[in-house]
Amino acid sequence: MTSSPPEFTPAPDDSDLLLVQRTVGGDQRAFELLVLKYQRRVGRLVARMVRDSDLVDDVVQETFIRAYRALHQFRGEAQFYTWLYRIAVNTAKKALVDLRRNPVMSESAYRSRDDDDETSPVENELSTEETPETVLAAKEIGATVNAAMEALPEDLRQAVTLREIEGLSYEEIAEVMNCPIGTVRSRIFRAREAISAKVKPLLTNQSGKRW
Amino acid sequence: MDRLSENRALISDLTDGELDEARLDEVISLLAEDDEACLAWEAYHLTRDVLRHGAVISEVAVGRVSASFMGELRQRLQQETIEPLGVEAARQPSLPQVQVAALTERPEAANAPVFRWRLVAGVSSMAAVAAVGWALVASQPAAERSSALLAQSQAPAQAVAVVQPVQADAQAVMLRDPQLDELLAAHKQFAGSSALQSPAGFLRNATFEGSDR
Repeated sequence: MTSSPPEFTPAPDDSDLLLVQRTVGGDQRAFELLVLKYQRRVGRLVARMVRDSDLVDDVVQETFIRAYRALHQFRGEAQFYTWLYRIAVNTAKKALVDLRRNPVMSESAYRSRDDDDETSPVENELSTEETPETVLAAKEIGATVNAAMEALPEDLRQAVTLREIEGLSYEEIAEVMNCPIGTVRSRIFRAREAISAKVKPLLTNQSGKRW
Repeated sequence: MDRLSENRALISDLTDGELDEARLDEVISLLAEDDEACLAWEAYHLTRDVLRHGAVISEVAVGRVSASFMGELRQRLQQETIEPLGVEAARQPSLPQVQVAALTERPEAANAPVFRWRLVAGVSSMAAVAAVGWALVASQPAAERSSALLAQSQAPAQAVAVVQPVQADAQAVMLRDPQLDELLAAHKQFAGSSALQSPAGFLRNATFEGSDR
């Protein structure tokens, strides 16, 4: 478990390129992991632009289909989500044109962004489709994660903070914490296990939110 | 650490992009077959989103997609083909069936190295050359053509000068003196040149050669 560090280390924070490569190599399951990872964010983005909540699923699905078709064009120069974001925006625009509807957001809200900025203005706008239940559920998840973080032992909390918030690689964290990379890996995993143990019930309890 | 925990540790590594590529197949298979592993993958990323982007993005946790979303998407994906090339770092040694299908299902390009396309291109080229040549010949004035013919051989030049009056004589209509024709033909260099300099000069030279004889 705490074996020597892997020889292959892609850019920190991103297994996306690895999964893209694998998908282009013909493994559809790799793309499904990307869908799992990003479907909520894409769903939220699309929901900001499309008034009709029934249309959101269709647009999200079409977004991922288009991304799948064009995946060979993704060269890893930008973040995968940035690339996906543009596809989602274009797909939503097209859906709106097809339906002869007006988007909720103005054009300026979803104009192009810097590649490194994954948090879009569109995402951060409040949706007219949000219900008290969804807002409450979101707050509950946020509070649960934060509470789980507070409950972590200091070494685990530090490791996961350096990883998730500061975005450091395992190697960099090992330097900061003055410990072997294997230890870093183990601490991050244990922290995640502790947090996800609290989060998973909330995910599975959301009817219609799990696949 | 038991087997399940070790599997989730691998998923944690993949979440961070720190997974040994040699184990990627193993983890992808695990995620495809094990719902618990899949839930862990989702929870790890959700935790990251909450920690990085705070309460606003935590609303992302409330997924807006329906329960049937993934099933429908999976069905559509199976009907799709994906281009095999393009990702610079793609290093897959063998192309799976979906890629081969993508290659074979693409419409054949006109410049593909196929013999029938080459045949079509060759015939088309020959037809184009023939059409252009015919158009040039057809557009050349009749006088130029007769001049060119005259220049090609000496005998026709003499025939023009001498034989024509004989033909006219045969019709019992003498329009001009044959001797005068010979004289004009012999001294054609003093006549005015035509607007088409080249054919005229060519004709003049031919006439000189004819007259020397």
